[in-house]
Amino acid sequence: MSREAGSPAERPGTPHPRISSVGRAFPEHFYDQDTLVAAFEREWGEVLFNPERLTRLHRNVQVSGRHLALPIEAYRELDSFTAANDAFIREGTELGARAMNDALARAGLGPADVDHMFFVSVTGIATPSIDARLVNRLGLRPDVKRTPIFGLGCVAGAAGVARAADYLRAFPDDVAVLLSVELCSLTLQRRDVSIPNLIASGLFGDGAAAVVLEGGSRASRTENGAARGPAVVVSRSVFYPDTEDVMGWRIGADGFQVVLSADVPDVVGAHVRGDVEAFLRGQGLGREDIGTWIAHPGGPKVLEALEGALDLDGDALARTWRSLAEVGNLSSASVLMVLGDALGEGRPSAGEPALLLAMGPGFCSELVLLRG
Amino acid sequence: MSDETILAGIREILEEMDVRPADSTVSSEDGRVPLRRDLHLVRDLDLDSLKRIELVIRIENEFRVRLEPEDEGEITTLGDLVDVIRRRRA
Repeated sequence: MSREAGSPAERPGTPHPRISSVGRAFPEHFYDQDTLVAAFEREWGEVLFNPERLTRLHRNVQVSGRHLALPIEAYRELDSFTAANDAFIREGTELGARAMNDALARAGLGPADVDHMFFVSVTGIATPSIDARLVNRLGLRPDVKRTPIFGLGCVAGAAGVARAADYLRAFPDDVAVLLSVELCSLTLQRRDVSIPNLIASGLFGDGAAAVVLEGGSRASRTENGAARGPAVVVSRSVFYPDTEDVMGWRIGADGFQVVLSADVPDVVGAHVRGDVEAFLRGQGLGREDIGTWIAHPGGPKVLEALEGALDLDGDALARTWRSLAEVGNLSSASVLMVLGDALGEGRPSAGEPALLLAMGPGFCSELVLLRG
Repeated sequence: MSDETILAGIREILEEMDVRPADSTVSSEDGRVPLRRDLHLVRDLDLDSLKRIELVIRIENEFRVRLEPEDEGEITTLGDLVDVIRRRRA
């Protein structure tokens, strides 16, 4: 019989890593959805005989506005992958620094306290990676360990929390920071009028989120325990075989072209209930024990599939729906924004189990059990 | 524009979208989408909801027509598409 996948089993006497804070940063350029629809109609008016199509697609995603890395008029000047990726590095470093400073300040820590930095993104590439640029910019220690992760897509927020917690189980005196920077607007393909691209142009926004996690020994030594956030109890990665075509990028000379199939909500609907139940059962819990759901706001159809499969009542994913409406889908940063909202509202409350979950290209899910 | 011309135009769009018959029983001998009015968009051509919207948008662009939401409700076969296009072009 194969071993149950997941984080190491609980070892007596080793407290779990804890989430100390969530920081975030948005670009200053915010546009409501009407303004964005009007801009896209100007852009695609000549190739779409019926511009109403675009309006309808952009209304259906239930997003009311989005932050953009650049002012809207600057996107016309992004005439190549080089220009878009240069903007990603420039703006991403700036935004990442702000999110990280915010998270560290909320945790009462400074850059020199960080032992390991995990960086996730799927909307631009850089070597040296953004985390390396932030070592210089923020003054992180020269011996800081860095793990830049590209390619996990929307699942990387949840997976990043899980990997940082895995690390802290081995180094329980350490501080780890997870930083997600996603500038989805810079990946937009202006010549691609395929439906996935038209939907993506209405759904995805820009933002950065950072999470400070502290190892169990360290967190348990903190005098003011009340300021500490939830423990990361255990996590599980779930991979769905032969679903590579469901979602991802096709990467070429023009940059990142979105791959999105109508199967995403079906894949979620078919698997998530069994996966969540099996995961929770391993911890002696059931779905009804989860007091706080922290889900990635993929899009309305995915969220409806999630609610249906998990039998969630109307309010269970309210924070997720609100995040989608207010800033759009920020890929890996989104679930961390929802986590920040939950922490800000004092959830999960003391002792309450919470489930943080996201899905992404592969296709795959990451389930993370938290406890307040 | 004759029904045959419209049907041939739809076939060209489907092939540009890389849509092929889902099953060999509906393929023509050359492997192309057959020019048949009774071909079912979901059952025979395996069109998912996103592909279906893409087909409609491409048809609007190609035939210079606007399909209204009530039209879309009645489209299940290639023949239904031909009828809607003919009506909207009138």
